Amino acid sequence: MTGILQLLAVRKAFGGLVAADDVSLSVVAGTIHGLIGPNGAGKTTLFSLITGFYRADSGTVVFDGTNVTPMSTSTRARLGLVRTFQSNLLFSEQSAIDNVVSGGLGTRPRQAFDWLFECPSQRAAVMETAREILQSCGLGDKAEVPAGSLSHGQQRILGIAVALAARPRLLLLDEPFTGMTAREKDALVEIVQSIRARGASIVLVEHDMRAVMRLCDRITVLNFGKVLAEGTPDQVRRHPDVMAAYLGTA
Amino acid sequence: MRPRSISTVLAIVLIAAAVLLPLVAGDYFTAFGTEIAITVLMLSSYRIIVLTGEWSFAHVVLQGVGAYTAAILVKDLGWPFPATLAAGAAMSALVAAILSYPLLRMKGFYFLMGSFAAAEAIRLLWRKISFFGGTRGLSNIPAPYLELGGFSIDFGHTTNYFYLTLTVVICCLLLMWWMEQARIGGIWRAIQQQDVLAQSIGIESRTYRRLAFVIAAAFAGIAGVLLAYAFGSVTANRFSLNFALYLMIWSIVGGTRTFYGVVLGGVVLMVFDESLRFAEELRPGVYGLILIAVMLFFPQGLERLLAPIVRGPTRAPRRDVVPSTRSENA
Repeated sequence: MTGILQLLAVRKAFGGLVAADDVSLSVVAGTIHGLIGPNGAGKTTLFSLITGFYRADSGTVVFDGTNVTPMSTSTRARLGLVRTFQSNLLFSEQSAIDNVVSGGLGTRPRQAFDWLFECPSQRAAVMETAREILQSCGLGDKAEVPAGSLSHGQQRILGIAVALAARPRLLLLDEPFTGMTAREKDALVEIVQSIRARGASIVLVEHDMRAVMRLCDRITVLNFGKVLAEGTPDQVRRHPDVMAAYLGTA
Repeated sequence: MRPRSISTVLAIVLIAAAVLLPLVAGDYFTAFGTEIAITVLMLSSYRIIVLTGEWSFAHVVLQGVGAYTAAILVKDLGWPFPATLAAGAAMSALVAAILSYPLLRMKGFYFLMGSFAAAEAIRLLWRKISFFGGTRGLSNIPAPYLELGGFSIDFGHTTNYFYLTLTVVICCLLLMWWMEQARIGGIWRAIQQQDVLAQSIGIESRTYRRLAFVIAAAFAGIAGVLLAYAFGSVTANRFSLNFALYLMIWSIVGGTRTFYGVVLGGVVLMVFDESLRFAEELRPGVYGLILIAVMLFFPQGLERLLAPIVRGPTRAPRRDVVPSTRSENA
């Protein structure tokens, strides 16, 4: 078992609030790893630490054997560490397909002078890839719709499609199920499984416990910036500390 | 006809009109045409910076860097026109590259103010240092002259210089248009629309903002060289805050979303500017009124007027060609 992502005693404090208190965890390659915990447990902070939006006060982030702690967000993304956002962050002036095309701008393999001039065949290949990604996310028929005109659920899925265009090896999904209808959730579960089936590992922050339990191979529970428990969905579900954190102690 | 071919036809008509200008108009208007062409180059290069989401006060001064470079090289060293053109572009790009390190650590309003300070500092150097001719600037810049085996063209002639300018400007516009279509243009637009998302998909946003600033400066440098030869002189006052403001107003009035927007704004407002020549002191007020009117009635600039006819080179949202949403709404 190789860990594609390892956090070693990562710590981040905002003033007196310790949002990540020496968090250590390891994500096994090819798995879906859940990150759960009550509101304010530090899940999103941890995401930002992993992707480099925040710099850790101390500790190390290792991605696929590379110490990425000092690297910028975009450098980490080019290594294959790509996240989605809680809010619907999209290139909202562009159509769905152009969003996906834009998603590949930073990581697409480069050709000589393509920054200045793209030949039609190159352009066609880029569009084809984007179309395939949209199709795989079930947005094939929305290609020409401006991102801002899509429904909330569709925008969330488009956000994932944009991230997929950046060729992630580890995809971090930040509460992807929020605000979705039941049918959209089912569709998204399948999309996430198909992403994993194509070889990417996934870290999932989510409040929707049904989705988490259905999808995740392993789950880490955070509370007040600390790791409370870790294990398979079943182990976590029965863990007394987890029940206490979620439901309060009797 | 497809929208793309309509805009191509429009571009050709515009170029043809420009080519025919000296035949129908006198020297005065031909010289004015030269000025318009240079301004169009300034505006479309300025738009590269705007594409990344920033507004700069330094662009006109970077044009000045090109102008001074050409003036000094041709007067002191007798460099030929093409060499000064390249040197002007390179010098402007170099100065911009140096400025970009402190300036592009800032964004938005802070960047705007920083660019203003940097620009004024450079402009004051020109005024204070005698090497740059002080307040009187550099004059008597010899016109370009081409001599090829018995065949010679004197670009001191207004019409000849107009054609030279037009050729250089069109080449630059083509280059910029290509860039915007290619990967780098997409990256600039992505940064402008959603900087955080751009970084998360692997775009080093500061590097590309810096690159936009430097590339825009290179084109501004070319515009500066053209200006130096057109006027035969270079003074620091030609690159003052006034002109930086005009550049900004023209961009806003024309609209910055499309390539033709700024060209439109530049042409319309320069013609307007010229027709106000009899009432010099009224100009700022009238500009203010125009700016307010445009912001009220065409918040996206004059380009909105043409949008139904031309679907420009941007891949902006095409709400009216989406059958699926339309049927849903119906």
